[in-house]
Amino acid sequence: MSNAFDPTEGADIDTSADTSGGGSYGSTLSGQAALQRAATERAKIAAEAQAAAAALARQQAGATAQEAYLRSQLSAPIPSIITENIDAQEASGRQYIQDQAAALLAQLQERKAQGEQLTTTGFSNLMNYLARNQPTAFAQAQRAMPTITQSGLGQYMAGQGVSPAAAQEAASLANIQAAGGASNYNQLLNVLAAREAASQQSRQGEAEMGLATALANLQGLYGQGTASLEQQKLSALQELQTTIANARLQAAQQKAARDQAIQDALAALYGTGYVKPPAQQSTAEQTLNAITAGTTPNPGVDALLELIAQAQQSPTYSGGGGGGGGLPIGNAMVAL
Amino acid sequence: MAFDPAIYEAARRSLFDQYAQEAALNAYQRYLAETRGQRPILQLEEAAFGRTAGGGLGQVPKLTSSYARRGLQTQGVRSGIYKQALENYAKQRERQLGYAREDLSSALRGYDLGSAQAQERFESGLSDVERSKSRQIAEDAAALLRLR
Repeated sequence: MSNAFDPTEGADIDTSADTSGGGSYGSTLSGQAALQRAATERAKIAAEAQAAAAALARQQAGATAQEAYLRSQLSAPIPSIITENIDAQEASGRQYIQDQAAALLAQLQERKAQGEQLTTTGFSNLMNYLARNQPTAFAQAQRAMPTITQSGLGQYMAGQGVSPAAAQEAASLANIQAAGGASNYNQLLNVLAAREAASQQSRQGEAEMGLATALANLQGLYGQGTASLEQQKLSALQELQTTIANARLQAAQQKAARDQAIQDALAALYGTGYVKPPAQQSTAEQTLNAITAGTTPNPGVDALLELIAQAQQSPTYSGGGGGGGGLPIGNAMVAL
Repeated sequence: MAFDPAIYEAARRSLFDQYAQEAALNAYQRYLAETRGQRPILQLEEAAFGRTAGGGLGQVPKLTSSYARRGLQTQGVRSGIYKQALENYAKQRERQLGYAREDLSSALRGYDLGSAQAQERFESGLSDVERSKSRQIAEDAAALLRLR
């Protein structure tokens, strides 16, 4: 048995006086007392019924107000303070990441410029040094001069009647040998001087290539640095995006939970019976209402309505599904 | 490694010191070689003419006097033996003198070449120091950029 209060309970009690029994005086007194009691009972019951009606009215009014409040809260959007806070966090986070990336990029550019300047200066110094200090060790080395000698006894031998030709021949051989030795030595010096000059040219070429390579290396490092920075920036932005999306999702979840709680409260309210729940519309009814209201564009429906209107204006319109207008309307139904 | 020009100055000093030592040693050895090489030349000259009381070479070959003592070379006499001997002696003397002079020249050229090679090592060493310095600067610049 339900414990809910039923204000109509006891309404069928018969409160009229029973005057059919008794005939003595004592019986008369007893009857009057009964009448009085009955009157008192009627008054009591009437007061209780009135109180019950008033209580019912209060309950219904309260339930109605409660329903109205709950319905006003139902499907309320996420509080703007939360969405604005999330938006502000996103904007500030993006700005921070952009600023950090810009600062690091500026730092990288500054170091690249410094590195290029140092490298260029270093190699320029080297090239200037090589240009100023051409190798001279072999190029300016003293060349050998062969000593040409005459026979020291030639004049004396001639005076003695002896031909100096033999002695001069020996001296000439020695001179030839000396000339060959000097020539070989000078040739050696020339070869060494040429190698020295080639080495210097090689050094100068190496310096130029070294400068180009070093600058290319710096450019490569700068490219790596910028790529790394860009990657870090994208990762940070992605992380920020995830955080913001989670915050928005959490806010949406909280809203859904709040709506669910309101729905539960409304259900409990309807369960009391003080408020009647709104009539439920079927999906078809909702769609039809939306189409009628023009909030859901449907070309198929538009075509169907146009065909119906044309058929109604046509003299052959039979009012049913048959006749000449049946086929186009059927096509329109298919489209719908 | 951070750029430290001090180590290149040390390398430069080391090259200077090494070159100075090599040049000094080479010059001294050349002097000794020249002295040593002049000796056989002088001996050959002295062997032919002898020394005068004043320290100079004599005017008449010593060979002549020995033939004169034997009557093979006197006033108006020029024997065939004497002539042949003088010719042989003169040829041999000129050959030996040529050898001695060439030996001396070769030895001196060797030292001159050593001196030029030392100078070449010194100059190329200095260039290498400069090269290493510029390389190190470039590497340090790259390292700075790599540090970020």
